[in-house]
Amino acid sequence: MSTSDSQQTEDLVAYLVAYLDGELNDDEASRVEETLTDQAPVRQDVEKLTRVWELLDLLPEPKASASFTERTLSAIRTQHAQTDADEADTRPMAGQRTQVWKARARRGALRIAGFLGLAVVGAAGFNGTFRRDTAQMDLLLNDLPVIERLDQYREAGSLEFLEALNDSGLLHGNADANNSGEDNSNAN
Amino acid sequence: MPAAVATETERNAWLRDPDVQRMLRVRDGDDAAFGELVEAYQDRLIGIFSHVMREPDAAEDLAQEVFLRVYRARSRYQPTAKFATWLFRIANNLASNRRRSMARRKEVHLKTTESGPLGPRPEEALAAEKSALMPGRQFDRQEMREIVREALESLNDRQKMAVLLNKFEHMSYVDIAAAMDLSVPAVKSLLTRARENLRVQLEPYL
Repeated sequence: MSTSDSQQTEDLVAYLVAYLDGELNDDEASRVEETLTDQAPVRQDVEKLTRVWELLDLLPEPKASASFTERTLSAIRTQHAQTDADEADTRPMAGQRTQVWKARARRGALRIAGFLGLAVVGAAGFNGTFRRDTAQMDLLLNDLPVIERLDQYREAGSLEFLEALNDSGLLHGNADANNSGEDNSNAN
Repeated sequence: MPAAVATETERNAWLRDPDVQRMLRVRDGDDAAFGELVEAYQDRLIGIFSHVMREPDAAEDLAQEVFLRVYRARSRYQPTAKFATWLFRIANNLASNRRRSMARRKEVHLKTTESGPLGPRPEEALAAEKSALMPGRQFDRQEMREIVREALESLNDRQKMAVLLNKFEHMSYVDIAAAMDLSVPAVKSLLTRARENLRVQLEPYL
């Protein structure tokens, strides 16, 4: 049988099956019925298709077990309860929305308070640091005359000698001369 | 007919489906309506699954899973087809998924053949040959039942599902197409080949 013959046979069978299933429109059904009237082999094919289809009625028809309905509904009730419990954690029911908003407001307020607290602590820390640094600055300013002449004082060798010079008034005279003009060391 | 009117007509047809009405009641919280649907469809689902899966235990498990999925989807239910079409679409998907997982686990069971040039498996051909050697013998009902069952098993999975929905659920080609996510011409082709294959398998016993 050629390919075209095979295709024609398959097309015919398709029409016959659709006819038996009531799936043809009126024109198509009429054409099939004319063919059945005119061609005995086609009538035999339809007869075989019909009888084979009826043999399927021999297949067993298993029924649900006696407990199936109850088991199924029980499983659904269990799942429903579990789903409700899960949804309660994540999606509050309408009646709980006010509580949720209050909780959210509390959390928001805590967050803001925490932020402000951090800001205050930060500011306090800065202030403390600033004040400590200011005190240190004051000390440095007070000691500036010593710092400016530190190299000279080191040449003196010892603190006791410097104190002795100070007591003698020699350092005061040098101090007065320094206050009037140029550095004496530079002049000398 | 303008598209808008046709859609309205279709919608009215679905809404006239009493099972769609039951499902809408389930959507609105009526669990008793769901019980009615379980009782109405449990045997039908188990019947389909028992033939598709060949395992009685799997049939009840799968049927229960179908109902669970229907129940889970209840809040989103919008009727876009007859209830049975939607239900058996879920069933078809579950059966396909179960077969795939079984294939992955490499469970040994008699597999269906793909229709086409390869033809039936050797063991099925042997069974058919043995029966053909005794054409005149009368077969009792139990034997015929087994022969018919094997003939059904010779179909591929999609052919088998289409045959079962057409034969036992009396579903139209349009509804079968919706349930199996196929085009109507594809369903027509499936059923044509399936019934021709069944005819070849069972003609000796007519």
